[in-house]
Amino acid sequence: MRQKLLFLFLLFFALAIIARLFYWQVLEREKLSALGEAQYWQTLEIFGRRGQIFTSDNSSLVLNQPSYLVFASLPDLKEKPHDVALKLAPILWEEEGEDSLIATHSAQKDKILAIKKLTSEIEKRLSLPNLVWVPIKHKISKETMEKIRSLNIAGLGFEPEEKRFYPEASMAAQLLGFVGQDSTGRETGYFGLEGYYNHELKGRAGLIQQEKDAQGRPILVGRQKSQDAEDGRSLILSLDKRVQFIVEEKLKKASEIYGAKGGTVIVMEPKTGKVLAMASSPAYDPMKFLEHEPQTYKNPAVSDTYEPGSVFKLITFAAALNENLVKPETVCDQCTGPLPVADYLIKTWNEKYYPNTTVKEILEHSDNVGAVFIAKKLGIEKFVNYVLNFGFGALSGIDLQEETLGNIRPKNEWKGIDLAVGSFGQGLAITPIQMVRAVAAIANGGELIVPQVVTKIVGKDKQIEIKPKVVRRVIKPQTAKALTELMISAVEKGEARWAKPKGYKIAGKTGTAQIPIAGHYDPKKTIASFVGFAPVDNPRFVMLTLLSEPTSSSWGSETAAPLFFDIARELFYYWGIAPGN
Amino acid sequence: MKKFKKLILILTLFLLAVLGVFQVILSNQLATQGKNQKNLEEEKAQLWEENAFLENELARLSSISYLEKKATEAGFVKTSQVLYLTPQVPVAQILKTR
Repeated sequence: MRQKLLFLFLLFFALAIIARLFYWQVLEREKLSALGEAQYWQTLEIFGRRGQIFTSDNSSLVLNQPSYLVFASLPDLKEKPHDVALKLAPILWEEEGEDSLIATHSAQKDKILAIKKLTSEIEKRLSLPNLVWVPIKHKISKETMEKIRSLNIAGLGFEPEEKRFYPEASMAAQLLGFVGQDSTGRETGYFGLEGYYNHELKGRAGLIQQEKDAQGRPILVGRQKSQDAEDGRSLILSLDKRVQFIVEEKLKKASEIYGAKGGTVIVMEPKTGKVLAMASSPAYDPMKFLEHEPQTYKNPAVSDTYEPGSVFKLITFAAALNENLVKPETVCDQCTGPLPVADYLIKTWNEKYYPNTTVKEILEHSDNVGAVFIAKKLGIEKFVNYVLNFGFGALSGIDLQEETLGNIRPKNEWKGIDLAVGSFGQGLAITPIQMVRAVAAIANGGELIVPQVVTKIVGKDKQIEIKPKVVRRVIKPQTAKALTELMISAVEKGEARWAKPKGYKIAGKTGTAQIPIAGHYDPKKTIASFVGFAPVDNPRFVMLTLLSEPTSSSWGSETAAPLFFDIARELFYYWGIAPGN
Repeated sequence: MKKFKKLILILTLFLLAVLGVFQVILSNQLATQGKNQKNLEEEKAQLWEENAFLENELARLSSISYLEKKATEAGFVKTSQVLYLTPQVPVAQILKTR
């Protein structure tokens, strides 16, 4: 009996040892071996240089600038932390880019307070217990580094770093994005191109591993492993620097003149989808992004959704013309007055009604009742199919990080009233890039393309060319041609004809969308837009201008359309397109 | 046997002396080469830094906003109207093409 008990005890003991060994050797193997390695291997990560960003003519948009980290080796610090902080704070405060020419008394007071705060922060850092090496400030300029070095403070040192430099200042800020730090302190691109192409831009980090002694010092004759860092690849954009400059300048001016809360302009090549300019206001300075509201970081051209309003009539018209349900000369027999649909009454924007109006005139007058008449011919099934085919409710595939889908409700949820209001762009939410892309399909003869910002990715030994992509044909070439004629007529005879550059053929459409708030529309606020392309025979550009909540006039024809024509006029000069085209 | 031991001792001492000298030469060379390498690396880093500063300065000076500022200072103004000259096709050519 005793022998059996002893045997059982030994068996249990042996099993316990086996179980423990299994836990160490199999289950926790990776974790424990990493812990063991960490005891005798020291790993240093070295980062390659971040790739740069250039416009289509190889002009620099984003470069790297040498900068420095100022640090303190606490055991070597001979002066008191307070004295060192007092010397460093004013120099580092100026580095922040604060204006050194401070005239007013209150500003002087603010400066003194800010320097005091910075002094106490540095002092606190230099007084941290149990630390040997303390970083004081990252990415200071060479001038600041030299100023600090000239103070000859023992125990202070510098390490070279890099920071982003924007020779064109805040140009295309929301398109570019910015470089910040992730939760581990590593540089990461956020938003726009920096976010989308972060993997290409950052390159591959290298490693140096060497054995260390018990005190953590490297063993000179110990083993070493190393892997070289690889610099990031650079991006060549389709963006035209001059077009971008024109667009930003005009948008800024228009936002001021029309008292708009913000605005967006996109200029794109309709045949290739190459983005020539993309600007939004308010913008931010990517070098000092932390000083700006985080809401400004996202690019509204791809991330903001809005109800398009009358510009969406183009999709209704395209669908009906393509299905041969209407012709430009088809007469509307329901356009005599307000049109009842379900419990609602559809009215025109100016409450003027045109009996026996033709399809062509419906677009010229931007007649909501006429649009409903056309949509009814299509029916929900066909209308929704065309909306989805034109790329609404889906990502356009543009190479920018924060693109959103918009909102088109599922087909089975559509009712008669949805079809009616949808025909003139209400009850659905789209993004500006989706609208430009859909109109580009009309301009290029009916093909839906993928908008693109980057045309080439250039590495040390490899160059990747990104070719334009056609997704599908959405309308027949003859439909596109017929609709273009209607759009020309809408510009020539529409409300915005006064602003159009003389002698040029421009196809376009205005839109004034109401802003939905808590189950109804805001009675005063609107989103004014104009979308069009030119020259019509061989379109060089398709452009959308959008102004959010303009106060001088709520109508697209009086705000967004003049902005469109103003930019178009400059583009005609720039590209040398003579009148008559 | 004694002679042989002496020979071994002399040879060992000689070998040690040669190795010692060799070690000194090697260490010396290694130190010099290490210093040279460090100097070259520092020079490379400095040249890269200067290059980057020059590149950035070039980019800043050729930026549109800077050029516009300089053009305005020099008295240039934007064109308010552009006149396009279209070539007149001779009548004879029109007749010929018809």
